[in-house]
Amino acid sequence: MNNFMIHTRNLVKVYRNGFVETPALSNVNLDVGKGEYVAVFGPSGSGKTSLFNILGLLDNPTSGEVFFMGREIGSLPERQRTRIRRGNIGFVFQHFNLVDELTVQENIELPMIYHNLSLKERRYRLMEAMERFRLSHKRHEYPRQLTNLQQQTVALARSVVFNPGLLLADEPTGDLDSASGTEIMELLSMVNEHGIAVVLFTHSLREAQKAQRMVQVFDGHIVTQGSQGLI
Amino acid sequence: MRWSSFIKIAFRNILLHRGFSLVSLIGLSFGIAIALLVLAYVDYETSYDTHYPESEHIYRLVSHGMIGDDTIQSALTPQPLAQVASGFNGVKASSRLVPGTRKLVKSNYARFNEPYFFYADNGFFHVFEIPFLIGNPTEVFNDTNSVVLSRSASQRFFGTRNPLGEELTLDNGLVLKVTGVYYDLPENTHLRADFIANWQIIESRMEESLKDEYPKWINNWFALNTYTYLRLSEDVSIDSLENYINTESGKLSRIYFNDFAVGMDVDYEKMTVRAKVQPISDIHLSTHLDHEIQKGASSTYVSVFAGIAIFILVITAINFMNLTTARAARRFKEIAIRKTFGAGRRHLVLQFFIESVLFCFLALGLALVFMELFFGRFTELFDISMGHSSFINQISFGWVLLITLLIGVIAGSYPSFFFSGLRAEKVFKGQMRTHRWGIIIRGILVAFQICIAVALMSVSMAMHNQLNFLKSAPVGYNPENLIVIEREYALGAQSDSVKQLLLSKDEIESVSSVHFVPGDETSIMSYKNVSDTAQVVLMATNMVDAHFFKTIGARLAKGRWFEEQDYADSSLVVINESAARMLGFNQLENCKLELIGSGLATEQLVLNVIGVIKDIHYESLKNQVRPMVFMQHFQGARSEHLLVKFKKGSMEVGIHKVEEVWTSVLPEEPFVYFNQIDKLDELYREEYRFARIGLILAFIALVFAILGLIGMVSFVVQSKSKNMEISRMLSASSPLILVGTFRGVSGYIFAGILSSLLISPLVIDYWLSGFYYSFTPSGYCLIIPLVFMSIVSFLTVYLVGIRVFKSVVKKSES
Ligand SMILES: Nc1ncnc2c1ncn2[C@@H]1O[C@H](COP(=O)(O)OP(=O)(O)OP(=O)(O)O)[C@@H](O)[C@H]1O
Ligand SMILES: [Mg+2]
Repeated sequence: MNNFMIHTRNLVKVYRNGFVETPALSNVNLDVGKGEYVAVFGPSGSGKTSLFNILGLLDNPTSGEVFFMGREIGSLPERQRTRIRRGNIGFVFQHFNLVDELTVQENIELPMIYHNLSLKERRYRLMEAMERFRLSHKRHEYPRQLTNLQQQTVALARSVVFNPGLLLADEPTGDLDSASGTEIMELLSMVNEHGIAVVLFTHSLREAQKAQRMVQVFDGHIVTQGSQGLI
Repeated sequence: MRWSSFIKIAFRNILLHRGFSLVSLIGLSFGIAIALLVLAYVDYETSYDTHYPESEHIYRLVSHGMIGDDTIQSALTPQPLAQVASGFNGVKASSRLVPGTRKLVKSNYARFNEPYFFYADNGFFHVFEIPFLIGNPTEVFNDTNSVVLSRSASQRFFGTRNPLGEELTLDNGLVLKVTGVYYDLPENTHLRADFIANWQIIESRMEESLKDEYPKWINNWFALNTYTYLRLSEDVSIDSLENYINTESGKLSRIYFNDFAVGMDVDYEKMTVRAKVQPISDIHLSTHLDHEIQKGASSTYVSVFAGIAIFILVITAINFMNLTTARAARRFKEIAIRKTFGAGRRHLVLQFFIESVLFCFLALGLALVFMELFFGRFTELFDISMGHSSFINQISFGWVLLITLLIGVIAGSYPSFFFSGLRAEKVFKGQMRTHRWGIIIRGILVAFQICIAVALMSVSMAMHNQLNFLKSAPVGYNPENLIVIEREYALGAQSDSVKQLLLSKDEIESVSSVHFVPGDETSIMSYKNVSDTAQVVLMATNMVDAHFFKTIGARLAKGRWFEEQDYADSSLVVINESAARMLGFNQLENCKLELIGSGLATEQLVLNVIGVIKDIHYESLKNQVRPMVFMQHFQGARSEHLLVKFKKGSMEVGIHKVEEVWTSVLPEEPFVYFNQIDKLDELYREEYRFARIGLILAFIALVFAILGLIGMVSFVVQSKSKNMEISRMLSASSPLILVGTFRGVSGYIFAGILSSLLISPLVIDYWLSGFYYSFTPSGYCLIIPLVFMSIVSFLTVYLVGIRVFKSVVKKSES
């Protein structure tokens, strides 16, 4: 079990809005190993984002257990979840979610602000990430001056700059044209090759196939699990 | 570190939202500026008399007790008291002090009316160790006729010349020689002295004129006529000092009584005036005794000011907080991103605190500029006697920083609280709904601001009503077309011929010599009803001539006023109705008064009352009319004022003619006069001040309330438009949203307005309770502000609602 980056048991998520209950996930059992690349694949409304939030420690499950690096975190309060999230999990979203008031460099630097890294270390990692994602020449520009692809690249650089164990990406190509999408997928693979576990949430089978392993969700259930060859 | 990154983003945000930043910056710095000005003033008032070297060891002796049935609380003491006090072990120095001429002082180069002239003992400079520019304080009074003066007075009289050895001639004929110059005393002292002359000259003068009567004068224990100051050593027990002084003075006054007052029908046991020791720092605010050198400030007034400062700070902070939060609502995404990447609650709190504190310091910079610009305006508006230099000295940098920090923290706290509950995953999903609590808290703040604004409007309306009432209230005489010329005694023997000359002018109706005019502090003396030996009555005593009655326009109740032929009989007096009531005089037959304790009178002085006039208000209508005795001027007695009554409409021309006459008779003497109506206004200076402050505050509160409303309405409209997800059908539902907004906001508006109805009557009543004569406040004082605020509020809601709504439509269409 300790080899798992993240590991869930009988995960259930039900949204309550007043008297209406919407089940989003039911009995989800999912393991993601260290350094693994997993694609969670399913149609719209199947519960991908719900799972993304729980795995990313942004939300609590209604019931069931979630282990992050061996520690049960499903019922932890927000404060402790934030502490665990800090420095361990990177996020990429469909809509990029960059801070508009910050430059490229500042956006990439942002996660390290909340981390007790020395200035030197921060500088070094920042330079390294900008080199790696070929953003150095854009460092002083603002998100609104960038193309969508460049923005998503910045978002990706931001997510890995602090060298997390896990990267979660929720429809990272949703706002991109197909050429750009391909480029982002390549970058994701590159990230994974650097030893970071990646969980990609997508409704595109073509993209899902880039992962080592696919998990198909439908109506909140995991339908199949296995290596690529099985589908 | 992360601090630098927060500071950077703070500046970035300020610049990115320039318009918004400018509005909040100006509002904030304006609030800070006013609050700091007010606080500096409060500090100025509360630090009175603390600037003297070792001022905490300087004390004053004052008198408390009873004379007959009257309570005495006077800053004055008997003259021999200082001598007695200096016999006590812990008294290092003591000094007597009396105000001298408050009139004309001449040098060879200049002449001025000098209100701050005093006589003091040698010991004065040991009690108050004021620094000297020229001369040695221990030697300046070596000669009997020496005088020292302040640096600015020296400049006034001698320019750049060396004043040492120069002469000053006083109104009373004394010629004094300058032996020293001291640095100007701070403005905030009760003892604003520009001249201090050697007391010895008074004694030698009195000795000359009184001859055998001199011991009776110099030892008089029954006249309160001298200020007494002491410097004490550190470990003195005030109680034992007071005991010592009162025991010793008790013995001496007994001896004096036996020596000089035998035969006078006065009960010694009924005079129980005791000396009290008072730190000089208490004089200005804490004790309000009779016969102060300078009128103290009411501590209520100063507390009100302190309250105002805090009030303005709170309102400013609330307003700033409101604006910050409104802006922060646009930063949901940023916050959500920061949270996702590990920002904990304390990071966000820190970020918002840094941003708002930084902003506050920017505002502080601007505030300092405002303060410099508005200082004159401020002192004028609030009628404050604080010079610019004292103001600068008064501002303590530590305090300023602390206050700014405080506003920053208060203003930053709400957004931090607001955001700590933000759920990142909901923001990303676009599900972030406006906090219901956000609206409720804002609503309460707006209600509070509205309540304060309405209450202040009501109160200041009531204040203005009361002041109008006071101004138009009958004062028992006619102050119109009446001027008061100062220093009538300067006319000397020519007084009568000048009066005749004046009366021959067409514009002048009548002329009269009088000692005290309404508004002056009168001298109080003790009397007895001859047929009732037990009761001693303190009555204001005035010296007038036969024309006073007509000139001032008084009305008669009983008997008659003086005639010119009465001058021969100095025992005739007229009293006012209050005095008649107090003395129990129901009819005029055999009404005899006896003047007690007049130290110089050798035989007892019995006075015959020939008339009773209706009460004249000599003091403000805050106080009950004092019983007053009008005596005739003794032949050749010094009379202070010349009253001139003009015929209707001819006052302006008339004054010129009076001046012509004066300068033709006395070309050397300045012609100084005032209008009696202005003197009346002077009586209500503090009330006018309060009323003006009320109005200004009402205005400030109104502006802040409207700003608060604007913030809240735009918030509600925005959230309503979003919640209803009507971006496509907005135009159809526009009235719906406005109605919804009205409904959401009006509750708070009415809550604010109605709760003011609970507060304002209480405040108005409290204020009016300070007046002996007051009007009954009409309902209009409550209704007009209420209606006004309702209209303003709903107009604001409507106009802002429409605007914000349109901008939301535009955004959703693009
Ligand atoms: N906050 C919420 N409150 C109520 N229901 C919700 C909430 N979030 C998601 N749901 C519902 O839960 C189900 C799963 O939604 P989820 O967003 O996890 O699916 P998804 O696979 O990410 O879909 P998409 O491809 O549209 O992003 C859906 O039916 C959705 O309507
Ligand atoms: Mg989704």
